[in-house]
Amino acid sequence: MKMNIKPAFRYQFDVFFKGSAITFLVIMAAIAALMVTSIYISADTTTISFTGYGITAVIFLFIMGIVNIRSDLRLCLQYGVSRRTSFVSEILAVLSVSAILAAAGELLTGIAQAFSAGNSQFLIADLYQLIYVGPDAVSLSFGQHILSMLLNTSLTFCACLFGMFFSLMFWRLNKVWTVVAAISIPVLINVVPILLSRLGINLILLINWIGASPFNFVLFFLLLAALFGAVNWLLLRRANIKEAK
Amino acid sequence: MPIEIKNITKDFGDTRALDHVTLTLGDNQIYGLLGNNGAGKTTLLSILTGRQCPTEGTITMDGEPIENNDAALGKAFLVAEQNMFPDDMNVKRAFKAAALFYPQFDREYADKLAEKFGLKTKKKIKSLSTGYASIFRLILGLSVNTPYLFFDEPVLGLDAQHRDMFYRILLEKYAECPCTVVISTHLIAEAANLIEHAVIIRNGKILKDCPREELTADAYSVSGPAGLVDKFIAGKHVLSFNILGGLKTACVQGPCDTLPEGLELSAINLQDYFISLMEEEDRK
Repeated sequence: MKMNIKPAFRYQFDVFFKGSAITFLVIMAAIAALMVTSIYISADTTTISFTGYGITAVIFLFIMGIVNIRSDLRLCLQYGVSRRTSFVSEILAVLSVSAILAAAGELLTGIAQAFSAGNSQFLIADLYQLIYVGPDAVSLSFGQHILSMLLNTSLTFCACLFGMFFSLMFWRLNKVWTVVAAISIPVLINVVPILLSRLGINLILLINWIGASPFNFVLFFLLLAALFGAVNWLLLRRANIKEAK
Repeated sequence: MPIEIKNITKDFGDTRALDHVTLTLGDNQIYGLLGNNGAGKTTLLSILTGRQCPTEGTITMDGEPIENNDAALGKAFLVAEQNMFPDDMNVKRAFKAAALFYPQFDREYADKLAEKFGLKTKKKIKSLSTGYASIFRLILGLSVNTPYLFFDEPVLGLDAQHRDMFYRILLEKYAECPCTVVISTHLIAEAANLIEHAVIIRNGKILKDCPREELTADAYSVSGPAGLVDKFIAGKHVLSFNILGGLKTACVQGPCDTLPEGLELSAINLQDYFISLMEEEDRK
């Protein structure tokens, strides 16, 4: 079957990119304000740290995943693009934007670290540095920035597909099942680790494995993203696409 | 044949919206898709444009199956009642997006029509009134220049002047660049002059599928004193009748014999034929 990915990708990328650009500018402004306050204005000598770029990007793309999947799909179908193409191009758009946002984050962190070098009142670090290098490192090498970018890309990509999963699941469920799912999710989050532990599956081992290497981290979240991607497609494949309420 | 609908069934839980529908939509004709509420018209058009998946059956457009096929789906445009556009999108952005998806989209023509109908392009689609939301979707449909154009209740909420404008513009457009048009409407009398081929659907099944003239030419209305009418219609295929005082009017399908004195014969239009047919089906 022929796929007309280009227009769908351009439209969806545009939607994700605009939102991401605004988020990036807000984070940049926050970092700049923190830097200026801690280094030049505040008389207090305590260290102010910013370690939330990756997590902010994760939350942002998780919400974008919830919000965009349905509206993008509706528009694509209105404009003669199949649900499969719309889904594939949405994933490509998310992956591209995740990579761009992660690369921009590395640039921002690198610049901020260069500016605050030698100053103990301001510290900026991201997930990769916190997990694998240590927060005390003044700056990262180019290779470490690349690894940090890969780590953030895999995490934000996975978060977006997770958001899509929530959106599609609640879209497909009727009122009764929506309530059942809403109650079940927090219950499962608490019960599954205990059950796994009773079955002899230790989640700490998994966490340790992820923490052992950034490649393990990237692989784990890419596999999780693939799992959500597959489930999302199953939810979407034969859904009746209706207007937004 | 351009669009082949083969054995399409669509179930929503226990409800069967379409029941083994087989239909062919030919090249460059205006089809009227007629039916009561809940007949399956919207479901059929939604399946034709990939918004819903059939439970059973296949659809091909120019020989290609439409399922997950952009080459086929891109040839069709559905002007439907539902708003499929994002909440924050305005008319201008929707036109811009249409140009992205349909290279043949005529932006100049769309802007011209927007001006003609008094549609403000800077307004958000969601904030448009029912009538203007319909106008917006009609303009898109008329400007995308696809070989297949489907209208589902196209004049919903439109005033008489705008409805007339739409019918005239559609005919002009059709004369300029012929395409296959399917109009699903309850306002049969208004759209009757446009319709070349009528497809009547009821309870998810196709009742009639033939040229409009063939439908109405084969039926007539006879009225007069009840006794005389009853005598005349005896043994004939009576679609419907109504009695007012001592006068009776009956719609009859089939050839017309010599009319006895005292009875009046008149041709029936598409709407009358549709109503008569539905009444006959109700009685079954």
